[in-house]
Amino acid sequence: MSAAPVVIAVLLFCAVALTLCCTVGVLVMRDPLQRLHYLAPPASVSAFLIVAAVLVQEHSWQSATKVLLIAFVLSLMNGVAAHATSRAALVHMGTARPCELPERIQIIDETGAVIGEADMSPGEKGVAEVKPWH
Amino acid sequence: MTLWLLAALGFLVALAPCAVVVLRGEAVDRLVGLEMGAVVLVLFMVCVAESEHRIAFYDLALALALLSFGGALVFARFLERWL
Repeated sequence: MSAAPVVIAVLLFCAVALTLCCTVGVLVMRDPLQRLHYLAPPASVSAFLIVAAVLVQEHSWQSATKVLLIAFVLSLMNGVAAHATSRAALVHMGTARPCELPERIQIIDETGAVIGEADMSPGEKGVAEVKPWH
Repeated sequence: MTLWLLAALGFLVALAPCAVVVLRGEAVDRLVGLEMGAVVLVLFMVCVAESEHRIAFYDLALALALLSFGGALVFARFLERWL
């Protein structure tokens, strides 16, 4: 008996088991950012396990090349999609800042004279701290 | 039933939790479930193509991988800006 079917069975079993565990992880986790972590293993590890199984099974380079291309597309683009989704999740959850604020600003009176400066990082009570200009 | 069809069946079972996540939860959760479902579906198509010995079916999986990536980016940008 050849060892190839056993190797293929083991590789496919690992790929399916990993994917099943990760989909259950996506289902169980509460936060979108936690769920996003479970996207990576099927797109990278499972895809290349299937590529290895195809390489063991197939003798034509055409199908092996196509499966390799699919695995590379999955693993490379999954990171970009996960990054975009996490940005959307942060904005959706209200954690991200809508725009970039400077760390320090100057306070100017009606004559245009600088009378103070403010530290935009929140102080002890969550209010911007204002210091007199020297 | 070949090993590849059994693996395809396993990937079909793995689609069920993704469907549950897509059917309930908030918009971002649904997007994550959609992305996961697309990855699982691509792997399922590869297994079906290998079991049927049809090289043309790989193109379907490749097209789905590329289109799901674009779709995920569009959905993410939509959620980020307008929802």
